[in-house]
Amino acid sequence: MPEFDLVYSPHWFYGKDIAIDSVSIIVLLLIAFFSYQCYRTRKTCKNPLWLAVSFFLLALSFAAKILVNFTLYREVLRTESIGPFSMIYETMAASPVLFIAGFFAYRVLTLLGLYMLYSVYSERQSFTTKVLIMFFILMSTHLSYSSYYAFHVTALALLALTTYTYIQKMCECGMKTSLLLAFSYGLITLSQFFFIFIRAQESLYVIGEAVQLVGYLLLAFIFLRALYHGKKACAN
Amino acid sequence: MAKKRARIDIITDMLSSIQNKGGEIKPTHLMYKSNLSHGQLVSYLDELLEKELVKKVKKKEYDYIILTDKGFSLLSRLKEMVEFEKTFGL
Repeated sequence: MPEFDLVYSPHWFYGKDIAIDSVSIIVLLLIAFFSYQCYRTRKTCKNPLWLAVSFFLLALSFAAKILVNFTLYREVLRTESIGPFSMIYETMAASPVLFIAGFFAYRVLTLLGLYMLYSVYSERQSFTTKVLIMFFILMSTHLSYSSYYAFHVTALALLALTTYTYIQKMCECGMKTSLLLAFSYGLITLSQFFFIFIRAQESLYVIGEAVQLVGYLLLAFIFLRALYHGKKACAN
Repeated sequence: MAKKRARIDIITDMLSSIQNKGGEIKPTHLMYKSNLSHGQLVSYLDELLEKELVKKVKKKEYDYIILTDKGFSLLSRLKEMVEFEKTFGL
C-alpha cells in the first residue's frame, strides 16, 4: 500500500466536518439541479450546463471526502492476546480499498469541478489547453498522496483564478449585485489557504472548514435571493 | 448591434407584455410590445394557445389575449431562471 501524507482534523472535530460537508453537498446539488433546468428550458448558451456539471462534481467530491473521513473516524474494538492476558482496546479501523478510492475521487473530482467552474467564466480554451490542464490535475492528485498541500495549492489557484475572472467579467457588465457571489467564491478560496497549513497547526482545519461553510451558506443565500427576485419581478 | 433573441426569450417577452398590461392585451399591442412582426406573432401565438399558456377571448368585438395560470407559472419560472443566470454571470 502506498504511503499517504494524511492530515487529520483535531479529535474533537471528528464528525463535525462530515456535517459541514453534508451542508455543502446540499447547496451544490440544489444549484446544480436548477442550473441544469435553466439549460434545458432556456438553451440560450451552455454556461448553465457547465455550472451544473461543475457543482455536481464538487458535490460528488464532498461525498467522497465524507466516505474517506468515515473510514478514518470509525472506531472499532480490537482484542489482542499477550500471553495469559487479553486486551480490548479501541482503535481506528480503515478499509484500504474504500480509503484509496475515496482519497483519489475526492481530489480528482474537486479539481475537475473547480476547473469546470473556471471554464464557465473564462475565455474558451483550445482542446490542447484542456488536455494540458487535465494532466496537471492528475499530477497534482498524484503528488498529493505524499504531499497533501499540493492538492490544496492547486485548488486555491483554480478558485483564485475563478474569482478574479468572475469579478473582471462582472465589472465589464457593470453588475454590482454580483459582488456578493464574488465574496462567496472568495471565502471558499480562503478556506483552501487555511487547509495548506494544517500540518503546522491542526486548528486551521477547523477554521478552514468554518470559512468554507460560510462560503457555501452565502452561495445558498445568493441562489435563493435570485429566485426570490425573479418571482418578485413576475408578481410586479 | 443587439444579439438576436432566442425563442425562449421571445416567449418570455410575450408573456411579460401580457402580464404588464394587467393580464390581458390586444394582439396588435402584443406585437408592438414584444417587437414582433405579424408573421412571428401569429406563429408564436399559435404555440402559446396550443400549450394553454394564453387564451383568446372576445370583449366588445375585440379579441384579447389573456394570460392563463399555467402561463403565469411559466413566466414566473422563466424570470427566476433569467435572474439566476444574471446573478451567476452565465
